[in-house]
Amino acid sequence: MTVTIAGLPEKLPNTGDIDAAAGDIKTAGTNAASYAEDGVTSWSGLSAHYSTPDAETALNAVNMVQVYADEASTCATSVKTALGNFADAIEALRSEYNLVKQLAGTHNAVDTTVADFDYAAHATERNNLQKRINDVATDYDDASKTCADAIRAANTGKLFELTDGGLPVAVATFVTKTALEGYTTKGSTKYFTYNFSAPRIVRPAVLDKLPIPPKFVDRIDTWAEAGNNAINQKHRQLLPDFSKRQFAERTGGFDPVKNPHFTALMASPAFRRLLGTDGKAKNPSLRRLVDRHHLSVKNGTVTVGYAATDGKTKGTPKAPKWAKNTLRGMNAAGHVAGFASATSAQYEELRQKHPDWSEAQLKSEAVADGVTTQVATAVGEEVGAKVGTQVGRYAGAAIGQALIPIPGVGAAIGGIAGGFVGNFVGGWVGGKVGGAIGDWVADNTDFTETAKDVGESIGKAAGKAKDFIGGLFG
Amino acid sequence: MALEHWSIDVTEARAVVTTTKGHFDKIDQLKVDAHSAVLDAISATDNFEIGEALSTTNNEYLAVMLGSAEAIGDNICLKMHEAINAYVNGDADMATEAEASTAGLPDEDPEADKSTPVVRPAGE
Repeated sequence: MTVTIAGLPEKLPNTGDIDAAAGDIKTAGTNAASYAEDGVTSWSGLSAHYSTPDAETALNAVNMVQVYADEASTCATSVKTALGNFADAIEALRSEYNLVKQLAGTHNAVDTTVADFDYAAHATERNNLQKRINDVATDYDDASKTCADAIRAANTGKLFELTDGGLPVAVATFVTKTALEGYTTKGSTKYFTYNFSAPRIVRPAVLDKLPIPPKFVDRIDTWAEAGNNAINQKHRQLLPDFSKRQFAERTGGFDPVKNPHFTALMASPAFRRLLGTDGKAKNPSLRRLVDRHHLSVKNGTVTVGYAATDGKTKGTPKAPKWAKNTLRGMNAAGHVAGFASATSAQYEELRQKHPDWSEAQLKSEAVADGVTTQVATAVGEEVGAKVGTQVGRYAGAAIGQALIPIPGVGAAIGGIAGGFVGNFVGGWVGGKVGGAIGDWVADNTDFTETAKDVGESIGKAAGKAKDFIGGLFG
Repeated sequence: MALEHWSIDVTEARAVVTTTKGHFDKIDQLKVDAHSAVLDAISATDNFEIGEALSTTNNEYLAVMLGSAEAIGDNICLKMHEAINAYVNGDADMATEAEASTAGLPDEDPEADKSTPVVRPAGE
């Protein structure tokens, strides 16, 4: 009749470190707003020395910098608040956490074999103590969830806010014309369904970009470096149907031994526990994570699905065959930005690492990695998901912002149509996409016609790109 | 040749552009700072769920906002610099185009940044 503390975290985090990091995040945001304000103030001095028929346009242009910087500040402040609240919650738990762990040790050390042992009293003590332990675990999980939800809520995507349709259609159509499975309407809201279902291996460089706690990766790295034999054994346990050679072949030359970092993560006990039934059942936090990312292990294959970012539930798509894998009300525009951002970073990295690669190869690989980074918010061998997305109408100004490409980073940050697509298959395609969306907004035509036009533009112009994307997503 | 209806104190206007660009340029480092702080927070919280939320929010929004602020600010200063230069050179078309571009979009050509001229200090 022992108690278990398996539901408790191994240790509580250092809240001083959390507060310090949270403060640094907020400082970055507030400094951005401050520097932007300084710039706007400085720029206003231009009016005394600059007079042209259209000077107002130039003089007012800097206001957009302030808009972006203020958004950064708001986001950073919200993240800081969320982390601060989490730290407070942890401190509120600390004494009880320490006490129940101490009591558990004492309770479990009791010699129950002595004569006339009072089993009834011991059982009562056990039940009461287990409840206290479980309460602490629940409070910790609740604090974690509250914090994570608050941080996700800071990802507002206001500048890319969707109110009634447009850009995500282009996203879906670009990714693959067949990806856009359909849509349904509920009230005044349309829900789109994309089908991203094809295997893709995560390259180690991309693995580094995935949102995995550094300490977790560090531990796996340490373990991986202990020896390849262990990696091979774990690999075979996890992927029993694949020989090492088959695995390398199927993953396009990926060698699990030469890439122990990735293989170890795939095969690590911690990752398997994360994905396994026991792990899910025992740890609510991981269960939520696993559920959200559709992580699963089946027939030795780890599958990673798509993740919603804001948890909003705004309706139920009608198509039943994919309903179980459909996320509703996801922050589509945020993912648009994420695609582009991840692709940009990867493009630059690949360009530096592989100066011999052609531009097409660089872009293809960068897009693949960017998509993977964005889609696979955890690590897996396959990317497979069906995504339902609420799509709304863009305000005119929002379209302009969403199409803003950023120079020097390899792809657009602002949006898929003008940058991601434009950089990938040529700027003129981006222009056509943007124009098609703009025309639709202007004319208020049916969105499906616009989506079709957009798809045709891309399809004609980017056969190679489409083939690649088609291969990527099936 | 002077541009009709255009009147620019070139030295003062360039000084404003240079000063403004200095302010906006500082935002670029903040993206690095924010990313570093986010990684610190991920390590400090040592919590998979919070770490995922931090990473996603930073990658999808905070970094995008910071990067966009810097890039747009840089573009505005660059285009104004070009407009002033065109004014000096009496190139009406280029001046008008550059001025209009201050409120437009940065060049989407990833190679463009390599040849981006630096805004000259006032008086050059």
